[in-house]
Formats: sequence, structure tokens, C-alpha cells
Amino acid sequence: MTFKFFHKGAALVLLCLMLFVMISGCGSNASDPKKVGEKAYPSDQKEQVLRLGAARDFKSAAQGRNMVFEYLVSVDHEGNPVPMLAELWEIPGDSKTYVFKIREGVTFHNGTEFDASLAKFALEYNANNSVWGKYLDKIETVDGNTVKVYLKDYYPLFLQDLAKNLVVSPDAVDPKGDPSGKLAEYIGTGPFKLVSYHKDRDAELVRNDNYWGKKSEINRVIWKTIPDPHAQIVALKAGDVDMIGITEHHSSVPYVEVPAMEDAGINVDKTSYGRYQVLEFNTLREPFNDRKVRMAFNYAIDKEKMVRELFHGLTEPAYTITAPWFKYGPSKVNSKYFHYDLNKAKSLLTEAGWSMNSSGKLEKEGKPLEVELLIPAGEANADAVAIFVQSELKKIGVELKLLTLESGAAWDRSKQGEYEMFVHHSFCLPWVPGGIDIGGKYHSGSTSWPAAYHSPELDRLIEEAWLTPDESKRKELINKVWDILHYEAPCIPLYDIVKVSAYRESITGFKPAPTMFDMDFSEIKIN
Amino acid sequence: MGKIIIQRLVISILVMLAASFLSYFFLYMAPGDPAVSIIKSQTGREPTQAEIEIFRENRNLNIPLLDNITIWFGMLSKGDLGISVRTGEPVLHEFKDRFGATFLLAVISLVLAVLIAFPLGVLAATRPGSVVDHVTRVIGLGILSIPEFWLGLMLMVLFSLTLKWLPSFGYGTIYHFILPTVTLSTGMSALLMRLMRASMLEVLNLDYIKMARSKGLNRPLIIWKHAFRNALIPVITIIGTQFGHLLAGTIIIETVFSWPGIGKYLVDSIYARDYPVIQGFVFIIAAMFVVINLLVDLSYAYLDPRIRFEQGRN
Repeated sequence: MTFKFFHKGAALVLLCLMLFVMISGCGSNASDPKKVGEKAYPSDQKEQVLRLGAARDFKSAAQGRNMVFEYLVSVDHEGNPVPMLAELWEIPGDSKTYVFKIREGVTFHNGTEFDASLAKFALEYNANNSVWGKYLDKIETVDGNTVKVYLKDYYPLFLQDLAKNLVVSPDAVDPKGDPSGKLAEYIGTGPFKLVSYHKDRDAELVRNDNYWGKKSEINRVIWKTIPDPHAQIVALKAGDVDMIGITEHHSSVPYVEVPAMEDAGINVDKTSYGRYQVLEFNTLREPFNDRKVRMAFNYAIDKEKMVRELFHGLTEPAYTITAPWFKYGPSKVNSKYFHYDLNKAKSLLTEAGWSMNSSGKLEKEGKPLEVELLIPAGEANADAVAIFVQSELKKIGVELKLLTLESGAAWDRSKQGEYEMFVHHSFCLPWVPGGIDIGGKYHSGSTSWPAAYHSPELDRLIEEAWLTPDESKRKELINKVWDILHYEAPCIPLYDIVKVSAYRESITGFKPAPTMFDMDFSEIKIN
Repeated sequence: MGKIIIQRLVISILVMLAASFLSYFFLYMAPGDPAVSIIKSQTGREPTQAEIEIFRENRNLNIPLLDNITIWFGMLSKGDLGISVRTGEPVLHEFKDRFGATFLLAVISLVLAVLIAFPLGVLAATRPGSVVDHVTRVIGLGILSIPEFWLGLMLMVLFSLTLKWLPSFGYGTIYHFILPTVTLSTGMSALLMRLMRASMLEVLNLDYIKMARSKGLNRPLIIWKHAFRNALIPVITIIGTQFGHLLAGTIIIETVFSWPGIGKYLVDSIYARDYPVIQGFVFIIAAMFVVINLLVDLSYAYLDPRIRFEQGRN
């Protein structure tokens, strides 16, 4: 018996020891205390280490890629193409040929010098995964620093598309040097080099000291994956990370948490990238096939009150379909077009034939005005916004029913036009904001939004606008498109989904990047 | 015994294949398009038709359902689970890279839960109606009602933010294990404790225990040697199921504590309609459940000699 107990005891001790060894050795970082708790970093005065708390894994976030890779052409905050690895470009003659002058003195992280032949490779690699690839005729290198792209047909968004195409080294793809290969290694020209990466855990980047542009003061960036937004806030307050929110293209920091963070001494930056949350109407069905009803719904929602009460005034209400300051935005439309006016809303509904019954509900031919709002699960702030809109519409006698569906299922309904109202957010840069491009939301060729507002006149103007290489004529046509759209009220713009980045007091020099997919660490310092 | 194991293994393979096929089939029939979901998650906007077409073409998403199933079974026979549509990595790599973290979390949490639950459950059962019994019952029920994500966040606030004793998230050192395993094992230990108590009480009232008492055997021997072993049988079944669930990933704990396991990855893949990942992961998870159930069944034979004798006769 004693021997048996001894055996069992020994087995238990052995099991405990094994578990201990497994835990101790489970992380490759275990032997290096600097890589795990990160508490050692701030006390290290020799190097500046920035620890980012990110909702997504490094390699699945565009912001992660954009620290390592760059583009030939980028865009500014308004959407104008700006030089990056292409110093300048010309569009001679037929608007189907682009000549890029490649920036000199740029090297990849593996030491290879970036020149026209490598730019050609990067363009060929991206042509396989981009819409502009369908228009591509051929790519030629003219000399060591000049590359020429010939398109078969005029494609107006070529430069905008390049602003999402990573310039990768031929050594970065598998098989090496094959433009149709897949990205296997992070070898770019960007301001930081990737030195270590663990799936769903962390990534470590060091400053690229050979960077052609302004070098950051930051020596190292540690990317820590923290999917839960509340856990991110705890980690920031506890000093386990220095910055959160910057690594996401949407706002991952819950707006309701911002006042408490500010009270706790956390710096909070709120940057508008012109992304608006909107309620889209199904204009093919009653009651939203009537413009007066669509306008009435727009007038019935007090958006100022909404942002004040739901978001503590953190953001601004939206009164136009997309941000007017975009390159192709509705700058000529009254900046408070869809304003709050309850009386106007009521009189428009009366004009549309809806009258109030004895129980305070609107009805037409005995049928009450009841509509359903479809909410894709995970849409930022949508649940709170939906309840607010529901209470606002109740004031004019409309009953709004809320239906939340898993995102994939909700979008399937949108594709089939199976909704009455749909909450979503508008495009932002580097894509064309507003959904007015060919095949976009307000073009009848749209497969994602067949029930959005469409008309032959709108189609004609959109097509004409995008197919003319004349920039001033295009602007003029797009202004006409915006006039029609604001008159027709195809949606209810709600508010600007500002991107919230929160960082510890020790960080100075924070500067928002031009698009929400990029991060700018050129001025940041850690004190 | 050997015959039973072989029979079980054959059925198990069929179960694994059926689970994998059904999960793929139903998700394929469900609304949602991997191209739309994946581009949307990468760019935060709905893709254009041209982008969808390019994505579908590059990721071989235009293959019909039946052809896809045939291809998948063909690959499976070679030990290949395909390529993730979302990440472009082999599914098996995606699993292997994450399973270690899930396995460690599951084993440690379960061991911790058992170490807490068994002594307390036995103690409560041997003193029914006593203060200990009441206290453990109230605490147990209280703990069972606490949602895991809330408990996790509260522990994080207390031990990471206020006391600054433990890291608030991450994976790598022994300290990183404390909060997730405590969170996970707390609820589990309360459940196992209640089960242990009920099972033990039932066994303690059986005739053979009364017989042992009347023979004058000492109390610890009756409880731990005669009663405890028999009381374990229903508890082991639940432990097996719980362990299976833990190995399939703990999405809430993985999200709250940024744990790099398979749970969150699988759920993200479901949202993205990443069919190869769902098929592959469900196949492996089904295999794990099958193995655990087999081990649970074998443990019955070890714990209860009557089962051994019956099987021996058959």
C-alpha cells in the first residue's frame, strides 16, 4: 500500500514539474524579461520604445503592414495623390500612360537599392490583386529611375489604387521574384523593420536607420495584440502599453470610456477621417420610395443631442452624405443640409399622405407607419444609436423595429435588397468616399446596394464624371451628383466616426496620419 | 476490451468526418460571402464587385460545393487541411501555432479546478447541513452566476491596475498564466464541487458504505477509498466534457486576456466564412472530443471493477 501511494505521489510531483517546465518554457520570450512584461522599457533611458496595444494581430492589420511597407503614391487627408516612393509622375497625352520618377536613395530592409526595375516588380505584383490590373497593358522601365505604365483603357482611380498597393521586395514573396507569388516576408522600405513576430501575440520592430524620409525618434515599436477594448484600456492605465486605438482603422476605443480616460490623465486624440455612420433607405419599397418620407426621417433626428448624450460631445453630427472636405466631397452643398426640424418632418409626412391616428401613430389607408432597421452585429455604436433613433422617430408617430443580424447575414440582405433601413458607415480614403463611383452604392451597377437610390440621370453623371480625365470637369459633374443625392435623401447621415487614439502622458508629439490606415511616428517622443 | 476500442475508433473517424462535413455544409448554405467578409474586415468598408471577383479568383472561391468537398477529402487523405482564405497560411500551421497556448490553459485550469473542487465537495458531502456545507454551497452558487468576462476584467483591474502584481494581458511567463487560469477554473471548480458533493452524498448512503461503517473501518478509509472512487464516475464524465470544451478554445478568456489560442481564431474564421479553417479545426476538435470520450469510458473500467468484469465476460 505504502509503495502504491509513493508511486501516486511521485507521479503527481512529476506531473506538477512537467506543467511547470511547460509553462516556463512556453514562450520564446520567457528568458528575456524585456520582451514580455514590457515594464522594463520605460525605465530604459537609452532607447525610445513605444508599446502599442492593438485589437488585431500585427500581420492582419493594415497599420502593421504600413510601418514596414510603403506605396509608390500615397494620398493626403483630403484624398489628393501625393508622392511617396515615386517622387513625381506625369500623365502625358491620352491619360492612359503614367510615367513615374522613382525616388533615389531608397533601400529595402535587406539592403537592396530600390530602382525602376524593383518598382516594376512591385507594380506587377500588385496588378494581380488590384482592380487596375484589369486595365493594365504593360509596364516598362525607361531608365534606372523611370518606370512607365500603359493602361489599355482610361482608369480614373489608378493613382488612388496605388495608394493601397504595398511596394514589396522580390525577396519578400514566395517563390522569390515571382510577381504572382504570395507575400511571405516583411521586406519593405518603410520607417520600421520587422524583427520578430508571434501570431496573435506580438511583433517587434526596430527603426530603419537607412530610411529615406524623416527618421523617427522611436528606436523600437512593440505591437501587442489585445483584442478586447476594455482590456486595452486597463493595459494602458496599468502602464503595460503606451498607446491604444491608433492601430485600428475604425475606432476601437469605446466612446463612452473616453471621459473616464481623460479624467485618469490619459491623452485622447480624436481625428476625423470623414467616415460617417449612416442609415441607408431601401428606396424601392414603401414608405421610402417617397422622397418626402426620406426627407422627413432626416429632419426628425436631433443629431446634436445624439452626439451630446450618447458620446459626450466626442464627435460631430453629420449633415451631409459624406465629409464635404474630401477631394470629391459635397463641398458645394449646404453644410447643414440634413438639419433637425421636427415641424418640417411632420408636415412632409402629412404631404406624403400619412396622418396621425388616435393612438398617436402615423397611418395611411389604415396601415401604420412601421419600419425595420437592420443592424449588422459589430457595427460601432450601432445599438445605442438605433435606440436613440427609435425614440426620435416615435415623436413623429413612427414605430421603428430593430433587427440585429450577424454581419455576413446582414450584408447578404443588403445585397438582396431585403431591408427597410440599414445602419453602416461610409467609405473613407484611400477609396473614393461617398459611394458615387461606377458600380458604387449610388450607381445602378452596384451589386452590394441594389435598393439604394439610383436613377438614369445619376448613372449618366457618375459615368461621365469618372470617365473624363479633365479634373475640373469631373469636379463639376460630381457636384451635380451631390446636388441630386442631397435632394433625394437616400440616407440619414448620423455622425462622424472619429478615430480615437489614447496614449500615456509620457508620449509627446503625437500626429494623426493622413488616412486611418497609417500611423505617423515621425514626431513622437517618450519622456 | 481491444475489440471495443477498435469499434469505437471506427465510429470516431466517421463522427469526425461527419462533424467536419456538416459544419462546412451548413456554413456554406448560410448567408455570407468569404470575399465580402474578409475584404470588409481588412478595409472596414464594403468591397466593390470588381474587388470581390479578383479575391474569389485568387483564393479559388469559385469552386462548386461538391467539388470542394471532394478536393477536401482528397487533401485530408494526404494529411493536408488546406489553406486559410483569410491568412493564406496552411490550416494545420494555424492550428499548431495556437494549440499549445490553448492546451496549457486547459490543462492548468482543469487541474486547478479539480484541486479546489474535490476536497471541498467531499468535505461538504461528509458534513451535510453543516456550516462548511452551507458556505461552500452559497459561494459555489455565487461563483457559478458570475460571467467569466466580468470576473476576468475585475481580476485584471485588481491585480494588474490597482495592485500592479500581475501583467494584464499576454502570454510568455508563468505570471501570464495566473489570471486566465484562475478566471477559467473558478466557475469550473464551483460546478465540479457541487457535482462532487451530490455524487458523494449519494454514494455515502449506499448499503456497502453502511456495511463498511458497521465493520468498523476508519472514516478516512471509507470516504477516500470506498466512497470517493465510486463518486468519481459521474464527475469524470463532466470533467471530460469540460476538458473537450476547453481544448476547443475559450473565446472569452482568450479575448479578455489576449491569449493566443485557437478559440478566438476559430470564431474570427467563422465570421469571415473561412471554410478551410472551419472544416479543418472542426475535424481536429471532433477528434479531440472523441479521444477524450474514449479515455473517459476507459476510466470507468478502471474506477468500477464491475464494468471490467462485464466487459471481460463479453
